Amino acid sequence: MLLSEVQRFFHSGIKKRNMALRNVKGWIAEKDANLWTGLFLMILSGAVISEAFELEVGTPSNPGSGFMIFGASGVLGLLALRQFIKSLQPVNRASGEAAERIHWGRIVAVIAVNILYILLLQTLGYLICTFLFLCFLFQVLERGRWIPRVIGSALTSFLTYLLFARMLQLNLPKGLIPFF
Amino acid sequence: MGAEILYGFKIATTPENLLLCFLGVFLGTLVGVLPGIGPAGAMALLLPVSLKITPVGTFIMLAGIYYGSMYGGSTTSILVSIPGEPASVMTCIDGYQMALQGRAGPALGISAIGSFIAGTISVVALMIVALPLAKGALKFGPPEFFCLVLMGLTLVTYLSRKSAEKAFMSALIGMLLSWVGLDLINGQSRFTFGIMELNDGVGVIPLVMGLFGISEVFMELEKDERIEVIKTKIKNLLPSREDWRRCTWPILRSSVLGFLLGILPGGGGIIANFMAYIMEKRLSKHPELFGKGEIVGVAAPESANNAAAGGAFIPLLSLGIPMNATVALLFAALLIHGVRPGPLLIQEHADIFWGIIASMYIGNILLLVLNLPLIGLWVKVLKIPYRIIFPMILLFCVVGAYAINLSMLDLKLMLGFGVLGYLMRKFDFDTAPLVLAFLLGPMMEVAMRQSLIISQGSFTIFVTRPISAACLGIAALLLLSNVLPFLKRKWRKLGGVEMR
Repeated sequence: MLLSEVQRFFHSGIKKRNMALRNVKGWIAEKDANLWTGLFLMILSGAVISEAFELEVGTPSNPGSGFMIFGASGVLGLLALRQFIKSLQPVNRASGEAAERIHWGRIVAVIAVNILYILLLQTLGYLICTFLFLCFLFQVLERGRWIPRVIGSALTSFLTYLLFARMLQLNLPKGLIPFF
Repeated sequence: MGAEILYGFKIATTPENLLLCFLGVFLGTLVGVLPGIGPAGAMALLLPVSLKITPVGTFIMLAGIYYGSMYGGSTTSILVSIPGEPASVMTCIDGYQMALQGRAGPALGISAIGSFIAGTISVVALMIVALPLAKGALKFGPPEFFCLVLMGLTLVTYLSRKSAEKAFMSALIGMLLSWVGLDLINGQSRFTFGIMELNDGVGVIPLVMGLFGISEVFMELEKDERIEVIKTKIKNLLPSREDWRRCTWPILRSSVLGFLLGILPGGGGIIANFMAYIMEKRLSKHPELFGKGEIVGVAAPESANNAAAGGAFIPLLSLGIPMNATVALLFAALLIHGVRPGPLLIQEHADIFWGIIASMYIGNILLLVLNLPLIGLWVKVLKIPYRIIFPMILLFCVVGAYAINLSMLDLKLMLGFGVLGYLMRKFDFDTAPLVLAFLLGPMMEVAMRQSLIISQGSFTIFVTRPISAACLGIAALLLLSNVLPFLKRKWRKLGGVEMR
């Protein structure tokens, strides 16, 4: 008895949460990206304006470091506000438009591997880091046999090392292979 | 002028500069052919390498990439029906139809020859117009420069392919980014968050590599498109007598139109390509043939975009104001070398001015040679899968951004700008005004503050001087033309209520 009460309470809670989520999702879908960019740019311009005052705006006859910053961020804030208000108005959306499939996974993976490259470059060095970086990137768009890709990555890392470090004399981190 | 041109050829024909000119036009054709990387991205990738080259050599190579990409863009438009770069968009229409009809050869041939004629005409015009303009600009003071830059930025945002309002916001963000670092007038540090490296400001290389290199890769990664090159034999590249007869006047007309449109801020090759096609269709006795493989529909837009590339050098070389994103990278390259483009460039760095003019004559001939006999090579390049190209672009971006100052901050900034650029494209914000405003922001700030100090705080200084007043007037008109339709709609709405 008590168990079924708990279950019912639990299920009604999930139902309510799902409904609330659906409402929020629906509201988000209704608003276009302009609302969020408008809001973000308004906050950004507010922060920059306060920094402009910290820097000293000055007077027209003696403009300070924050003078132009104040002007530009003020105009930015006004335009962002206009965009925000416009985005609140109902828009007629074309129905039945097939949404283009976007491969978010690929983009997030490439950003993540770039961050890793930046973090590990000094420690592992150019050759090892670039080899691992390319091994991963060559697999992003199309999975295939790994042996040619590993050989390709190793060759590319070595050849680009010769190009950048030897021919163009760029100073690349050596990391774990100090003799290169 | 004859002696100066000879001097220019003396500079442009040194073995090093000849090689750089060849490298520039070759890479330009390559990035023009390859969809997914434009001339701006390619120039951004090469900026760090350019530090090892002389300023003249850098300019010759990067300029070669710019006008070379206009040639290369047509190949992809004709054979794949995808513009290799945006300035060849109209060439797709009739170019691809010609290829389908088995006439890919004449289409490629006329676009290369038209580009050569237009490129040469625009270099001659550049030489004639830039000199007097630079002389006139020497009389400009801070108010004139401020208003000129303001007008340029307003025009760029007005002509933006996306929303003008968003383009304006983009420009404002670019300006704010340009003011990070030490104040040029009183040395106060701004927005550095205690990071010493930021005292020198945000680096132009991480910014452009992120916005044009990394974000372009992200945009391509989200698609599933595979390129399919049309299977046809490319023969008879040289146009027939009949083709010549029909294309001569359109090529000449489009060259003039393209050159004039290239001078305009934000104009560049895209608008020229579009307008030339429209103009020729209007003037044609058989407009119904356009869209069905009409050779004039290939010759005119391809000539116009090349002439526009030449025209875009005028404001850069004579006023020091880049009017589109790709030219902005040339501006950035010169700044990195400590050369400030502007009215004094011709006097102080005559080698750069005359060297580049001469190299453009040579570059156009090289491009004709590269594009006609080597067409088979470019068709092969088109078949390289993107999964091999994009890791290389990313690698060049990362190494390039790191190698200039050996700074990890530059790498982080580049990645950050890459994500910012991607989000901007997704939310329909044009990235070009951001880069232009970033480059012109410091000049604009100094000019504004100096003008106000001169006038003791009176803003009337901007309207009492004729040149600055005219520039301000044009900017105001453009802004009003954006706002007026909105006011008109509101007015009609109110009127409608009263009448009811």
